[in-house]
Amino acid sequence: MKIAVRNPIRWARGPVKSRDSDGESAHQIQEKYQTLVNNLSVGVYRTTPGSKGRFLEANPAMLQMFEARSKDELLKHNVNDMYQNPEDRKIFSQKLEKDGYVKNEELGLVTLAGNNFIASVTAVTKTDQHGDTYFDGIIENISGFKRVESALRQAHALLETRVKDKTIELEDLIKDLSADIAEQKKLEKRSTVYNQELENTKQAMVNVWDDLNNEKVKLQEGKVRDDAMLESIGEGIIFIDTNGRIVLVNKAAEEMIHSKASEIIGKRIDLIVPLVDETDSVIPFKQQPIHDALSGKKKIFGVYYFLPKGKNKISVSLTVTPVLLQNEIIGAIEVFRDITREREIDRAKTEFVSLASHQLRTPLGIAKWYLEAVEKTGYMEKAPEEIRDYIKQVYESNERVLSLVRDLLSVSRIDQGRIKDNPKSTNIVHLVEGVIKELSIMATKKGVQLDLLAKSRSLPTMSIDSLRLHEVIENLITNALEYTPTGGTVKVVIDKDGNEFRVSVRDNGIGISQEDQKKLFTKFFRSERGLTSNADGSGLGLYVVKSYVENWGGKVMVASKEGRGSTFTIKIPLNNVKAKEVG
Amino acid sequence: MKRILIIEDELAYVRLLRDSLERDYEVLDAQDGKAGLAIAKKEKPDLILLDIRMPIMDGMTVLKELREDPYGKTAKVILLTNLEANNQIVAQVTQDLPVYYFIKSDVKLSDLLIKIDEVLQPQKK
Repeated sequence: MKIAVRNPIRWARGPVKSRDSDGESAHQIQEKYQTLVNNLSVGVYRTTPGSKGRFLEANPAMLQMFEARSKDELLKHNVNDMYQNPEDRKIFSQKLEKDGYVKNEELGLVTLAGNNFIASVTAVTKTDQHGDTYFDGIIENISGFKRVESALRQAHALLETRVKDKTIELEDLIKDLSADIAEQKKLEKRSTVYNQELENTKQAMVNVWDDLNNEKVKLQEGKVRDDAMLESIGEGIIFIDTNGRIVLVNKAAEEMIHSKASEIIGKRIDLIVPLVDETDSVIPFKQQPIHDALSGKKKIFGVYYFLPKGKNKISVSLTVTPVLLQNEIIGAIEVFRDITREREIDRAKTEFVSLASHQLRTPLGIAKWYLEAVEKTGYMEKAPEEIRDYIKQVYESNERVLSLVRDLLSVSRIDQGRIKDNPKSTNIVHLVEGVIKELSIMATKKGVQLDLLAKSRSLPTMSIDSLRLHEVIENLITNALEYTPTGGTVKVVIDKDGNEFRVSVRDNGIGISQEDQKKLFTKFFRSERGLTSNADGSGLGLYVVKSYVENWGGKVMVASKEGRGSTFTIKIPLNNVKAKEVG
Repeated sequence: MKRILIIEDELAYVRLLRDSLERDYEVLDAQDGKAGLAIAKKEKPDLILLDIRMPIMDGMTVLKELREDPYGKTAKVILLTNLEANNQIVAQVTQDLPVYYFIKSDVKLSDLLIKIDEVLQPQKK
């Protein structure tokens, strides 16, 4: 700041040098110095020491600083008048007197016009040649600076506050952001998990779908296979539900009952294919095998007649099997075969067998009687022994053929299920005695002793087919005689045991091996020993025995030891003997 | 002398039976069912030996027809056959009547002759 110097200060008592080396005069130096002081922008002054003090000198900047109109106005005032707090003058003065100088002391001052300002004061203590002490100093108004500084400080404080606030805000924001980010991350993570789960679920569904498809293909294959099987089977197959309604029919069944599956599915089996007996009367539903199968959980087999509406009766071999699901009946399967033609063939066979047997028996019977007649004539006694022997051989041979024909006839009847019993009141003891009497000739001839032991003569007469029982007893005794060597014994025992009678035939012949005992009652079976021992037999006798005895509700048993003999026992219940068919 | 009628198509049987019976009985014979039935009704023999399988009329029919006749109702009959007839049908026809049944090839001639004597002269036994 350039201050116009209106009243330049005259340093009346400044340090004066009389003359310096380059010849300038003291006055010249004084003037130079005066000019410098007058033009300085800082205040330059001289005061007296003390707590009051008096201004001795002040430059123009000084006047301007203290808003003095003139140097005189300022010089009229004590120094301490210029202090905002006059006490400060005392401290300042004391410090300056003591130290000799003060540097950059900040003081709160006041102008003559009463305006406060802050000044920075640097001063020294001087003593002149008179011994007077005074203070020389420079003063600088630093209010502006202070203001700026204060403003700066305030601005700074404000800034700091703001920064702090902002920082807090930012921190909060950052916190929030962090939280947000964390949340976001969490969400992202969760979302990833969800996505993964979704992906897994999708994959699982795809797998299930694939599995289902595979299953479907398998099922379809299975169904095609089953259908093909059902359709190509020659047997008729009908599936029936628990209400007796048709659910499924195969092709063979359609053909056999002359109906289309589409026309009969859902209809009652007993109305579509009525079951009839031999005389064409309809068998009531409750007596039909399908009813039994649906209510009894068991498989039923038999020969029946179907009489489809408006069609011919067909004979069928029928199997009805209940279908169980977790032990619950859900329906039944009828499997049947048209055996009409088989039955015809059977009938023809029976016809043939009976015809053949008749045809065979007639000449054989004639031979039998004529041979007997020859023996009876009395001429035989005169004939040579060899001739009588020849005749006997012929007779026995003839008997063997007759026996074989009889067995064949019996087996044929048994196989066709045509045993029709003709039970009549029979005394068993008498019957067995009769058989023994007939066979005693054979026993004598073989040199085998044949005994009868009737343990219970009081056996009641019973109702039984006597011809067949005769055949059974005869077969057992004939067998025993055949397999017992000369010198042996055959013992027949009749006994009653509770509600049944027992006939056992015991021999001490060649016996039967364990192995052979199992096959003994099968058709045409002959043991090795039997074959090698030259015994006669068709291998049908025991089969016939078993069939007849079981038909009467009885049992055949065998006990045997090789080389020791055999015992055959039949047990037949005295009552409850039914003339039922053997099938 | 008691009379026996043999109804049998097989001449060998007829001859042997005749030879065996003629000493004690008067023997008549016929070779088929129809002729036999006619003779039976007319002559009313004491015993009829009846074959089953025969031409023109079989033995079972003869027996049934005979039962319609006042004489035939109680006539003594011995069925002689080689045919294994249905036992139940035989039972129906012969029920409660003096009808006997023999399979020719099973029975001994001597046993048959004893049976005939039994039937015709039961008092002797």
